[in-house]
Amino acid sequence: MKIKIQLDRTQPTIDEINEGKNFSALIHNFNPQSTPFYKSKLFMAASFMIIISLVYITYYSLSGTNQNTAVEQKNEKISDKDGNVNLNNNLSTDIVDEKNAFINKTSPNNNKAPNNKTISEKKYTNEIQNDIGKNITNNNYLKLNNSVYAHINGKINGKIDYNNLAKQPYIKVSTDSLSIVSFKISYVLKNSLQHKQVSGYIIPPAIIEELKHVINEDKLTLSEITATTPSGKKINLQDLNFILTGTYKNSNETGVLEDELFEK
Amino acid sequence: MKNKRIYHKTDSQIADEQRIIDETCKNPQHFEKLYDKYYEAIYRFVFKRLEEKQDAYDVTAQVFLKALQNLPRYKHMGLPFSSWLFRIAKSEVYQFLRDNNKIRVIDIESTQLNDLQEETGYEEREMLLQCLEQILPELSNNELLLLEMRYFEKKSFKEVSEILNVSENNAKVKMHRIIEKLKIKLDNIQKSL
Repeated sequence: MKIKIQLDRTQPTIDEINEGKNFSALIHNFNPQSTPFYKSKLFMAASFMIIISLVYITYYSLSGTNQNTAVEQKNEKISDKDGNVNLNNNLSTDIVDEKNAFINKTSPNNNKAPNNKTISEKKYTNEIQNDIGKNITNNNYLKLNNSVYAHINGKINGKIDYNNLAKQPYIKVSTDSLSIVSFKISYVLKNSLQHKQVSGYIIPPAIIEELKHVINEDKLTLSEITATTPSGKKINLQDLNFILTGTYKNSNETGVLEDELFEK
Repeated sequence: MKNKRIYHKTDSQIADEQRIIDETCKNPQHFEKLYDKYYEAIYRFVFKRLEEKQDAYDVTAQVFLKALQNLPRYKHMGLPFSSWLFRIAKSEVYQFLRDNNKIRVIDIESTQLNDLQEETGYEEREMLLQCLEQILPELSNNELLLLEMRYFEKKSFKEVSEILNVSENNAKVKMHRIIEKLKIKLDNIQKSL
């Protein structure tokens, strides 16, 4: 902005000042009736209502999409070809019944399933509805891969198929509700007693090799999991303590528990 | 011409103004009392910052129109109504200058330079003006207004701070810094001579 200093400029007289004084013109310009419609309160209110309606419609149309997905999920088989059960459907009444049936089937007293990949579901309850649970709508179980199920309260009940993981460099296992995109694994192998951590979204091959030797009593913690919902919303599961505990190999002779899964 | 002192008021005067404002919210015709009271002061404020008399009429009219339109939103915070009007005037002046790409005028009466001369310790008026020409464009809008209102319009720090929406102490500190800048500039000019 250019600035100009004016020294001793002639100041206007009162009469000159009053030349520009015109209250009636001011009132005329102020006349509320001359306010354009787009500035009126009615227009503002109508615009506001339209915006609210659009937000409402958008929100519920998106919710509707999710509901449709849930209906499709209901029609899916709950058991896969390996005999594992994917319990990640939204829990409508009939699904709950199926799930309960499944739990009975895989209870500790009867926990042997085909291909030695039974999942102990004795910890299964409907008790967990934390923030994450809300986000993934009643998914008490999160399927990590074909044979590992993470209980949403932070426990993993499942047999860890590391060979399977080796074929999947990404632990990006979609459930109908959630995809894991990054994670952190901490583990202590009993025979080495070294605490190790891996984080990222790829398990390095060397670690996979090491994990293949995981035996019973070795403890693995999968934490700091970031997952995404189908709409792309990121969910950080780091407050949960996912414990992956299990046997890697079927060792009947040594008496290592084959099918039972271990809770923390 | 010496401006009428319309700024400092008693509590009862401020209460009277508030009553007029309340009445104006119901009927805009009541605004005439405030319009008559403050028109001259606002016009002079605007005129001192613009080149053309006609522009000053337009901007002053715009100030009162804005005030009338926004009167229902005016909240009495213990400050005189005039400080609110001056704030509107300040913003309308700068809006006008921006929209019309006009020159910002600094209106100085020779007699009003005395205080500034005393403050800076320079008695040569020409040199002070030369220095002001250099330093004024470097100041922010608020700093410029502060200097103008304090030294060229003889407003009190209280009044200036209320118009600029800063605390009185803050206005003093800013003023002190501007004077310091001015002194440094004056030293540099003198050395270069």
